[in-house]
Amino acid sequence: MIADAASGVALALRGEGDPYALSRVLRQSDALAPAAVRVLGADALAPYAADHHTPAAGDEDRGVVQAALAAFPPGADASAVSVWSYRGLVEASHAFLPGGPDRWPQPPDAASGWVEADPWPRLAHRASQLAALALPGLSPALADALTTRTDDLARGFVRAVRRRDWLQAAGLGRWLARLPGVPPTLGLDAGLAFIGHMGGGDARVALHLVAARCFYGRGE
Amino acid sequence: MSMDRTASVESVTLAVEVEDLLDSTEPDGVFRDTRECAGAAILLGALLASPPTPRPKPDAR
Repeated sequence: MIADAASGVALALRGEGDPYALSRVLRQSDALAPAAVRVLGADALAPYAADHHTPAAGDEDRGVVQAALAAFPPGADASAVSVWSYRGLVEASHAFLPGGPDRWPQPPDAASGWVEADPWPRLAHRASQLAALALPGLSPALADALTTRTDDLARGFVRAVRRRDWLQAAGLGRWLARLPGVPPTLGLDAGLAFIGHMGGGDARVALHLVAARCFYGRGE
Repeated sequence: MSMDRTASVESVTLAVEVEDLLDSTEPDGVFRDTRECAGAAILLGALLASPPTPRPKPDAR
């Protein structure tokens, strides 16, 4: 189901297929839809951030996201990735869904000490898990913090490609597409194209690559 | 009541699965060092191409 939803989002970001509606990709009546929205995070709403002629989100979309936020809040012992992902979904809901700020929970405080403290392989792994937050304007504080470690993310990008971990490589490539100061010697565009060739069959990999191209023009 | 308990267990299980998907562990990497692979191939080729160990012929009677 997650792969199907990711494919639907990627299709919408490419400007193909029927006009996007989250409630059509993930029906509220489906018991697993809230879980899929929670896993996709802010990416579930990514087409509403694109310049395509995506219709504005409706009440049914709001219902799907509200169900996900209510069913899977991060617990007291939740990982930093889980809290940041939840925060990203809340921020995207504020930005792209109708209802005003009163309808949505406040974004939870998320720890960011790991951005400075993690060794670069661990940092790269965590950042790739949060690639859905690399939407334009989302989580600017996290993006600013990651900007201080662009070189380490670039190292992680190369490492992930060498490990053939296409999901991590695509997520890092998406962050690098958003961040300034990426070393030109990295060959980000060629790297993203290579990842698409090798791992583009995975729906979530394809989604990261399409997002990097749609929002930042990288990987063409 | 038992159905409620079953539903509760299922939702907890689903929540755990969601957390695992969000913060999954990094898979073990598959490294292929080109120089090591080339060295292994040369060694294997040399072993296959080498002549058999000379052995004494059995006595012809």
